[in-house]
Amino acid sequence: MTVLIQHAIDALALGSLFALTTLGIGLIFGIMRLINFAHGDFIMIGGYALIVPSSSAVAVLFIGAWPAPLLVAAICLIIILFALAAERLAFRPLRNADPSVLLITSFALSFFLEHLVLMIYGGRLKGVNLWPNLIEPLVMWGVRIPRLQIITIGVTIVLLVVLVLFLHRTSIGIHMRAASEDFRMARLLGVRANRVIAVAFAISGVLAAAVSLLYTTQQGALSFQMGVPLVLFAFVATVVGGMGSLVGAALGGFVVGIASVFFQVILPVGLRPQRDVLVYGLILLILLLRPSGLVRVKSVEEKV
Amino acid sequence: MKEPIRRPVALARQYWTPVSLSILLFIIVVVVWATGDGVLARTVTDGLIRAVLVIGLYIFIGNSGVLAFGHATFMMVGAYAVAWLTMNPFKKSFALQLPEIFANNQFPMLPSAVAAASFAALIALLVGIPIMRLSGLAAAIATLAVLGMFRTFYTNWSEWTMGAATMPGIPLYVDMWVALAWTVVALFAAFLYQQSRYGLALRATREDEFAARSAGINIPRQRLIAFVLSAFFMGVGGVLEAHFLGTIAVKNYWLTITFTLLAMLIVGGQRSLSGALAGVVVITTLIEILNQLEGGIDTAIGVLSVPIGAQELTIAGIMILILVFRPAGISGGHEIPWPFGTPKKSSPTKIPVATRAERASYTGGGIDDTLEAFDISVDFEGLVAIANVSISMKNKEIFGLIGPNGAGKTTLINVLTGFQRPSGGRVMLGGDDVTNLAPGKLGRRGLARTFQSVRLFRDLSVAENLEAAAIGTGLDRYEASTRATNILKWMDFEHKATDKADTLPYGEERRVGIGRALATTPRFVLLDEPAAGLSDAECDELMGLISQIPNEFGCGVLLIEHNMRVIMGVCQRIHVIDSGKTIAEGSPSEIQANPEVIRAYLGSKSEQTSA
Amino acid sequence: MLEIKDLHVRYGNIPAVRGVSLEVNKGEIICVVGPNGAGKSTTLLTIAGAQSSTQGSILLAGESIAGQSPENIARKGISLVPEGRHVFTQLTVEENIRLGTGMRKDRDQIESDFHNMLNHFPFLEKRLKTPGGKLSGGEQQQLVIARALMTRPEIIMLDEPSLGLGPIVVDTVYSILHTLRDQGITLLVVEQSTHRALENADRVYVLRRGQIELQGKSSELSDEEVERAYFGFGDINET
Repeated sequence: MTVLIQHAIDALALGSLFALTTLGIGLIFGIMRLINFAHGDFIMIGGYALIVPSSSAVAVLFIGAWPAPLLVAAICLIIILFALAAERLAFRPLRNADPSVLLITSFALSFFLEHLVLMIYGGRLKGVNLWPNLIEPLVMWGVRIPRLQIITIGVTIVLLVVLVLFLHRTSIGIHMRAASEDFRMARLLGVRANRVIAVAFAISGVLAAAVSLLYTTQQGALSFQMGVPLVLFAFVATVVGGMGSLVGAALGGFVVGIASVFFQVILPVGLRPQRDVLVYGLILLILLLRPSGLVRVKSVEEKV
Repeated sequence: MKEPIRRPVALARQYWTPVSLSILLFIIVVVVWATGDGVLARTVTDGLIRAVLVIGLYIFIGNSGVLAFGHATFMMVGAYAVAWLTMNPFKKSFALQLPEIFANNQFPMLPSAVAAASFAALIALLVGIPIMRLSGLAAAIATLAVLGMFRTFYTNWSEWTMGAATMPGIPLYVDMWVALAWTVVALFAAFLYQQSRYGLALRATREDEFAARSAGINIPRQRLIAFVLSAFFMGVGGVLEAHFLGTIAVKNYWLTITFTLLAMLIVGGQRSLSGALAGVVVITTLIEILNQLEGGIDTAIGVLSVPIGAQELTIAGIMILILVFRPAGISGGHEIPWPFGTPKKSSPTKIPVATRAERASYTGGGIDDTLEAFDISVDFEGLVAIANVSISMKNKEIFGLIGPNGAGKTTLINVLTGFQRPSGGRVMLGGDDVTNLAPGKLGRRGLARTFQSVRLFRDLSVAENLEAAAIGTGLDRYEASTRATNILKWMDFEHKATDKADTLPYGEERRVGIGRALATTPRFVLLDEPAAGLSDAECDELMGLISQIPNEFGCGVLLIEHNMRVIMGVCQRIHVIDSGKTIAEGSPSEIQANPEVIRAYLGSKSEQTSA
Repeated sequence: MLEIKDLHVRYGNIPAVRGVSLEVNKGEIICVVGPNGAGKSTTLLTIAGAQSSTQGSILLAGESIAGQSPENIARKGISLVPEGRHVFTQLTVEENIRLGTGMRKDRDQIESDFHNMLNHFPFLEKRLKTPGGKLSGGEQQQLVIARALMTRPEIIMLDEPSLGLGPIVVDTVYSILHTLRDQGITLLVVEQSTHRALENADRVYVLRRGQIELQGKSSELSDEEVERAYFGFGDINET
């Protein structure tokens, strides 16, 4: 029983990280049909912002040494700035372009950012000890759970609730929902396209910051391609969940996270490294059965 | 005397794209070979291998317009497969635990290369079946999932792949000449595919999925064919690289190579073979220069060097700039033009001209053929678009469907052509129930349509537009081309056969749209507002054309039109709907005399008082 | 107050509007009629900034607004209700109605406007929390008019407000339009029905094939004249 609870919490925690990443991607896709490859690099940049820029092997904490509230605020701010700059410089000139052009542009941007970091910080893996006490397990009712997993799940729940409230209770949130349903009509009602898109990038940046801090703490190391596996899983989660649906995005993230832990548990030890083969295989299977994903969105399907 | 010369010239002209590109590459290789510079030769070999890979990528992305991020998978599959086949058994025994047939044998190089690439193509076939059913964007992402899947699998499949370690000891035999030979093969294969009926059908889907489906083209199948062929050449590229470097490692078939190859294709221009090669040349040169710089260069002011990562950074930057400022890439989608002037405009191959009887016999419908709709109703989320509309028309009849804006004409057309499921009622074609058939199936059964917004395959020539539609009905390229030529002759439009569709003036676009629908040899053709936006003179021409269709092509015409002159001038019977309901049906003179019809169009005062 | 001169609009190769000039004065109801494909909707979309023109000028109170973004034109007091309703189906009725108030400066007026609106459209009051997609076609049409009005426009442009509605609802819609005009709002309405146009408008423009075929005060135009312009001169009797 206790083992089962441990697995369940593992699955939820991993699913949470994927769901937050997928939401960050899905929010922007809903509004401007951009699947943002560079989202993983926003997460990566958040990690590197914690340390002093240098190419030496030993990482010296910089922002990472600040008190937690200040640290979180600073990381959010830095990622938001990067996200806004990316929107302004790379995506705005292409706003009316085909979604596949946006996708390939974000792929190029992703490479650009990764190698920018590589040039400044060097390519070696850098050990980072952010909030080491969070890794220590917490024993509750005989179940040993790393505090970080509880925090990950908690942060995800809080962010999901805040996001839902934001989208339903604030006027800019309502504007965003309107824009993702019918951008032109929203603009005819005075909704400012640039502002809505900028806010979407900013929120996506905050979600990336949360993932960045949680993931860096968990991994204890930084690499310039650390965002890649996250974003790959989030991408397939977006497709599995149904492109254009935020509910689908969160759902897809959890499905992928839970499937990963599930296969990890049921596979014999020798086959565990092959886990991701099954996760990807499962995704292809889901797509074979439901080509438009779990949650179908009408506005994304091609209109006559 | 002239004939024997003409033939090779005609051939050279027809195959000018791969021929010219091969000659250019050949010249480069000969020059480098003459200099005897070994380092340069290696760079050129490397570039040629990249060229095979980018051509492989082009076969899929260029023709389908769908992005793919997973093609490194097929490189990896090809490279490992050829290692199992061609490595010295003694070397294999060190690190691999292969089945006996691989462990104890060393197979000849060329058959092994083909086998390994075919294995990559087979894998593409298996994963492509589900993926090619997805929409373009989702398919692009799913190919990434395939790459992730195979990468994980090969990393942990130590008995066959040495896991994450680098696998050494692959025989070295690839030099400039071998790489050149394969590049030329890839060029010709890509060109022949692109010109084949499959390539043409796929390019049509790239231009307009909707119109392609309605012409009977099976999009997933066409994409799959290109995907498999593309994977074959990715496999070849992987094989060549393995035999060039002598080592392979799973980690090399990941995002960096994906990025580099995509950058080459995008920067060069994804819509032409010349573009694909131009991208290889430009990016390879750039990589070479930056490699030198990263290593440090002695100059008068000391050693100059740029930090590691500058290479990808620069390429990514250039790629973004190209995407923003020149989305069609360096080539702009053009091939190298034929330099020896244009001969008299005549079709290179003689096409037999069909008589009217032959044209009429193209179609499947007989005298008694009918298109009927019984009690069709459609509602969108509670909003009734059409209610209980029935129409019935016969072979060779010109049947008009009119009604004011919002009356439900387009909805009815969409039901008839399978783009909209009715909430009630049945559609019968020649007595068969075809109510819920997909547009493509209906197209193949003989129901063709034009579109209000025309929806030509813009990047294809006029003739290719017609041919693509003919191919959708199962013809091969020659038959399709014959049929297209005949229809263009009939429309008096042959002189524009090779013009690109998007260069036509609007009125001519409409005409090509009708020609394209007729190229599917329909039993019934539905013309959706063919006169919209035409001048009076063009309308007259159009009326002449439409009234000939039944006798020339032996099919019925369902005409939806707002232009009363056109409707009244060509239709035998007219059906009027308003607010989703039938209000009248009859001959043109009956309809014109019907006060109900005038009222429907112009509204009435009594409508408000009576309400 | 709104003046359009020699407007040309193309969709790719397709000329949709070919030299349309029209003028809207404050407090008028102007109807634009014409068959499908005449360029009526395109003209409205171009004025609203959702479609770019290839030639011509659009002046609002003497100031050129051609080429500005739709949101900026909306903020200058021109509100377009495009054809096809465009209710945000996922947003509640109230969210739909309030969406356009975001750009208003007279914040204190919004609540009283909101209550006035509910008096105009009483059925909305009970359904404020319902998703917009759940309303019937007629209700949606009234919702989009309510939504447009909440932006407090100086000019409201309606593209076929009666399309797909039953006669009773059409009457309601037009009576609302008259009330609005009495409140000083200028109306530019695209209409299929020439009779309705002649009955309701101060002035009528007949558009055909992207050009103005006929214009004049509705009191001075006859049904027959408008019909002939609508179908093209003598077209119908020729055959």
